[in-house]
Amino acid sequence: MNSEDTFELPTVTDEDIYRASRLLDLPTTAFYGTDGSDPRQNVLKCMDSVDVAACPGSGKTTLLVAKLAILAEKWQYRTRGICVLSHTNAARHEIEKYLGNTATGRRLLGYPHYIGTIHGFVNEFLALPLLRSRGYSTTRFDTDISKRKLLKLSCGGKKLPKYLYHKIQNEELRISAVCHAHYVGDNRDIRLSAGNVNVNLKRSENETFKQIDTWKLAILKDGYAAYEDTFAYGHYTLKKYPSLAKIIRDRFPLLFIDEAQDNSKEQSAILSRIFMESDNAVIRQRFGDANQAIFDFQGAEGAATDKFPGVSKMELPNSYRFGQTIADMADPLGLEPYGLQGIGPKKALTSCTPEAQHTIFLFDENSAAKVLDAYGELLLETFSDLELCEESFSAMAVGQVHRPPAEDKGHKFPNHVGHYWSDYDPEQTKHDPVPLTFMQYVFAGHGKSELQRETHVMVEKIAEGFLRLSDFRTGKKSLARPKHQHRHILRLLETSPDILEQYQNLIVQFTVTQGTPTIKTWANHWLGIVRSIAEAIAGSPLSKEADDFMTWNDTPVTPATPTDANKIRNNIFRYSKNGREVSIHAGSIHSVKGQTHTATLVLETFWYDHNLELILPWFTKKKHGWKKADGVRQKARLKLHYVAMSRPTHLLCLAMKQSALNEEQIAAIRTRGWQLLQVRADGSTELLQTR
Amino acid sequence: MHLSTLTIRNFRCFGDSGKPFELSLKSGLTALVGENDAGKTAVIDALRFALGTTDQDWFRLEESDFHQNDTKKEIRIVCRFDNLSSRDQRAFVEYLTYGDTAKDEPVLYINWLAVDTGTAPKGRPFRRVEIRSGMNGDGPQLAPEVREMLRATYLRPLRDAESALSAGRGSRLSQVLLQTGEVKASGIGYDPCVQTDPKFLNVLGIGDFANALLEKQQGINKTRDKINAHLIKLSLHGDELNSSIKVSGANASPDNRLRQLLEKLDLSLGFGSKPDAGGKLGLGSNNLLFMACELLLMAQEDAGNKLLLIEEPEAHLHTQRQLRVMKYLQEQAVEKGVQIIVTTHSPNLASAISLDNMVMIQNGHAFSLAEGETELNSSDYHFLERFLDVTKANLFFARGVMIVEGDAENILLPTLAKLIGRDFTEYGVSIVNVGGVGLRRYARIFQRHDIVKTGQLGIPVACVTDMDVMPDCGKLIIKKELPTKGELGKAGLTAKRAALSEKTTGQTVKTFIANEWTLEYDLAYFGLAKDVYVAAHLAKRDEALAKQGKDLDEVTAKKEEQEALTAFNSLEQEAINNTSNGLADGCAYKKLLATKVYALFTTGTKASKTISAQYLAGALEDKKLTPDAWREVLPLYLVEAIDYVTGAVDAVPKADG
Repeated sequence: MNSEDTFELPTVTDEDIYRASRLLDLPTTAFYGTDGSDPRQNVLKCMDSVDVAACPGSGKTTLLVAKLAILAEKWQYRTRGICVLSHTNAARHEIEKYLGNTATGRRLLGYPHYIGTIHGFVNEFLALPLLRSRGYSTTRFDTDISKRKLLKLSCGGKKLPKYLYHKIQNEELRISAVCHAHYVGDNRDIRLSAGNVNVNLKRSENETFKQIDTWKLAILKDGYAAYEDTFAYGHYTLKKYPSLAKIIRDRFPLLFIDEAQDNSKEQSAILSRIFMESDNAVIRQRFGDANQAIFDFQGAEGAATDKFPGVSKMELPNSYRFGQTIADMADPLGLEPYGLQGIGPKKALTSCTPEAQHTIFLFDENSAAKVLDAYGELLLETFSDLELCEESFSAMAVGQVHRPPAEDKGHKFPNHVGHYWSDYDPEQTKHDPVPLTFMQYVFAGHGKSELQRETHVMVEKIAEGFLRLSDFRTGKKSLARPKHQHRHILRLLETSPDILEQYQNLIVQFTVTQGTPTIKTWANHWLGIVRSIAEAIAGSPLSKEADDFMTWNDTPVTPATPTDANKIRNNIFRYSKNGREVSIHAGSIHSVKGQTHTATLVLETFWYDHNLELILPWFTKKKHGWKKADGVRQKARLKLHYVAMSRPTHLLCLAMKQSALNEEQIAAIRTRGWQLLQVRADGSTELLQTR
Repeated sequence: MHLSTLTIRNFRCFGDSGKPFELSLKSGLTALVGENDAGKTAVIDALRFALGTTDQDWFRLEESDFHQNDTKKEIRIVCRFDNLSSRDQRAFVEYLTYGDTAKDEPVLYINWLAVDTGTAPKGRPFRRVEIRSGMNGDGPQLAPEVREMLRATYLRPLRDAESALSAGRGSRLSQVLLQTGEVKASGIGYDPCVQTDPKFLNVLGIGDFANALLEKQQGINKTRDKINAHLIKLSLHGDELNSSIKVSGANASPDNRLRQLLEKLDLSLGFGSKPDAGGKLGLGSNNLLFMACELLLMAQEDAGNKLLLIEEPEAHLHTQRQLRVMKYLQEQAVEKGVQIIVTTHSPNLASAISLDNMVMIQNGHAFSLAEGETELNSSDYHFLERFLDVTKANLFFARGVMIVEGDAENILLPTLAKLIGRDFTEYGVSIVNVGGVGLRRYARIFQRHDIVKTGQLGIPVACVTDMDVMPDCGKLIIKKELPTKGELGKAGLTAKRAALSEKTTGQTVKTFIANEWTLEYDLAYFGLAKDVYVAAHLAKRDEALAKQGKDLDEVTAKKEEQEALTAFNSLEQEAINNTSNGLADGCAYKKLLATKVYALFTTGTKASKTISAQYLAGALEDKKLTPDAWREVLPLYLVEAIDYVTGAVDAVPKADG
């Protein structure tokens, strides 16, 4: 009997679970609970298709890593593997973090398994093999470059098919839409989109379609495609080679999806087509929390079909993050509350027993700017010096809206985070945005390098900058972008030893001996060297556009280490009193998704209306969960604030307009365990007394 | 799946100018044949580099592995695999290359690329090797686990089978045994708490059982006690030292214990009657055993390619065994789905391999002899399967091939070649005697079906055949139903000649037709009438004596020769008379004489052509003439044929596609 030909699901025993706990350095009760009845053990043992609804702080990713570790140890197939998909490489990083040094971890991270993003998977298994087979050797899905090239091909958007002038009258929108042209669906129809404009062009002999298709193909020949094209190529491949889905299911009989609540319509559709539709569906286990489904991109939509969680589900309602009080406060905001249990936090506070006093700050127009001071004051009161110094300590202040509105549409004060702190800069909360200049690559690398205390991150980042720069070459194909970019450059420069030496010299100086260049040394010394290295890599002179990329720019794109100089830059608010100090990070709710804080302050903001004000009935427990009658906006609002309120381990605070509350509401809120503090214009606070 | 195409650029004898070396392979067995230095070993080594081998020998890339004329210093070896099973498809799904339509099965390309960087850090030249998938080598690099699945099994020439099958650390035998399911599956483990009949134990159980017995053995324990008695005297109060004796390695992991046990085993071979010959068997037999082991192991492989590379399987084997081995390998290839590539220098082996599975390596190019690749049609394949024997299998290793229709030519042509200074053995020419039938079928082996695609073989092939037209006087002397020259007329003769030639000639195959009639007639006609006559006479006498159970001894032979010379003189006189009397039916003297001489082979008690040829060959070798003088007296078509097969014909390079 051939063991490779039939797939048998492994069984997970208690012993396996204990072994995994040891491997991950967790207590043996981690998956059993103190009384042995914790549902996590069942999730580990379950080998059917199931959706795991995991509450905030439930250790969902750790649980997934544990399960993968167990399965990897038992895995005996050479031609089949486990597929783990998510939206970010978080799962992969998590596995690298916990298991990177173990044999089990290395096994999991390599062939025959796949751990990565959905996009990466479609790329590697569908889109790229197809494009390679058609002779397009290096294809990079880079929307930025694709846009730029489309702009050029269409003569700056001046030479467009007639139909489009008629269809999109606003010139700016029209050009933007054409630059965003991407393929959709099995037939690679073309969609143009910008703002609220969407134009769909069916694949046909139609002049408009043909013109844009020709441009797209020319760009493809140069080695580029738009990021959004990936799924269209994926669908096209599946249609063209119907047996491929079966082959992939054969290869990956077990599929795990992390953060499943965030699957977009498109992601859900293609995953379902690859792994689930018709016969021979694979065993699929999705992990996530529908209550926390919030999207990074505006306009992104959650999947309507194949909803998460589905019928067959398991729940993890107990959180290790916070205690029962916070759990009770956040629970009603869940779309379908499942009775959130707080069995945390790991460490009780020394200064107050048994729990911190969760607080609602009440302010008026004159005292809004003092809310953060009041919050700082409360933090200093609540936490001991020892606790404040702990590495894991973090205090956040977040709001649903953190950016001032583009145009005034009757917004009422306060409507965004900046109203509480005028120095707040919404541009800086983006995580890992693409650097715009070579120097930003250098600074980004420098920041990361300092955090990790390893030089290789910086070397790779500089190499990435060089490859980006070398892409600005005249009339040539895209350069390959392999995994190890520094090594790739070393290879490319093998034939010109002088340049190679310059390159190596630059790397050493930037990373070790001199540190990052200054505006002076950059202009006088490095600029020319960087250009000649990039030209050697490119094998041709650089185009004009390269000049922009090489201008001096020392605004870091990624938050660097919080040194004093850039504290404000990183949106860190400092409060000090009597020689004691506390730092408060400000940001949007989106930006703190997945994070754990010691203390979280949720600020009132305005989105069609004041958000916290509208959620008030849920604080007073008048309402519980979401019903259709509450409306779609309220649904989004609830999910965001559920996320925000489930971040802290010890202290949860809200900031609301005092005028929004009447006596009855204040009484109701107080019975839910909140303390109410009035913030005065001078920053002092006063406990709100009831009559 | 199976390796279907191998392309090699800039590796050893294979360059990159024009078309690169490209070898098409079928599933099952493929034999690479060809003369020395043609590149057979380079093909095998290219595969060893590109795919890796199961023996895991480290195989180092040398400067000399780069093609001499290569200025780019870049070796590229591309393997294409077809017929991927569903298992292969899922295993390699991220590496596949798709066809234009869904009907085209996806294929797998492995590109092995080696670049000489020209640098020598730490004094050692640095050569970078990359292994990638994709038709153009632009796919992802292969994961190490994938490389494992692609490894080929390689059996080197003149391998030392005996040591490979002997006990020892990491012995091949232990590896083979570990891989077989039976070793682990049969029997039960040893449990000290349960009494089990040792014969039911599994291999590991036997080891553990023995270890347990050893540890409890009385003698050992008594000794230990003695040691302990000494130790007690040496230890401090309350801190007693104690020794125990354990079998080394008994606490290792089960897999390690099993491996150690298996490494203790030798594999030796015996005959049915002498089952234990104690390893005294020759290298050849051990070789067989080794191959059997490797095949067993391969048949169990459940993923990746099952590719076996054997260089010169004939090593150390006598001819009958060679045939058995070849048959066995061909059977196994089909039965177990193993792809086997062998190289051979043995006509013996070659004769046992069907043409369909043969590839000639010649001058840096591969020429498959599979159906469709040559001008042979399917009936030719059936015919050749039956009649291509050991003596004819020479043709696969030759630089030039002479195909003849009879024994007489077979005997005489090598002699004639030597006489005109073109010794066949020196020039590497094989002579193939088809024995009257199938001349053209053999010739077609050397004709490519699509020379645009594959180029043509650089081997000159001469087909030597009779004209089968009598001189006019033939009718008088020899009662044969053949057309005469007069009857055909000049145009008829030219047409017949063209028709004969056309059937065979093409590419490097040329037909050489008797200038006049047949071999013997033409020899007599062009200047050897006397010698042919004497040889025929002797042959007749020889046969007559043989019927009485006697041999033609030397004294009698001398006497007979004298007799023959006298008879020839009167025959000559008769011819002169006949010619002058006009009785020769219009034939000139030379023709008449040759016809009369040739009559010895066709009328009355016919002289055997074969035996005559032997006498003639002997007689000619005794004559002292210069090569140029010989050229004067020999039939033109034979001289031309010999010159053709011994003059190198340049392989016509393939057209650039």
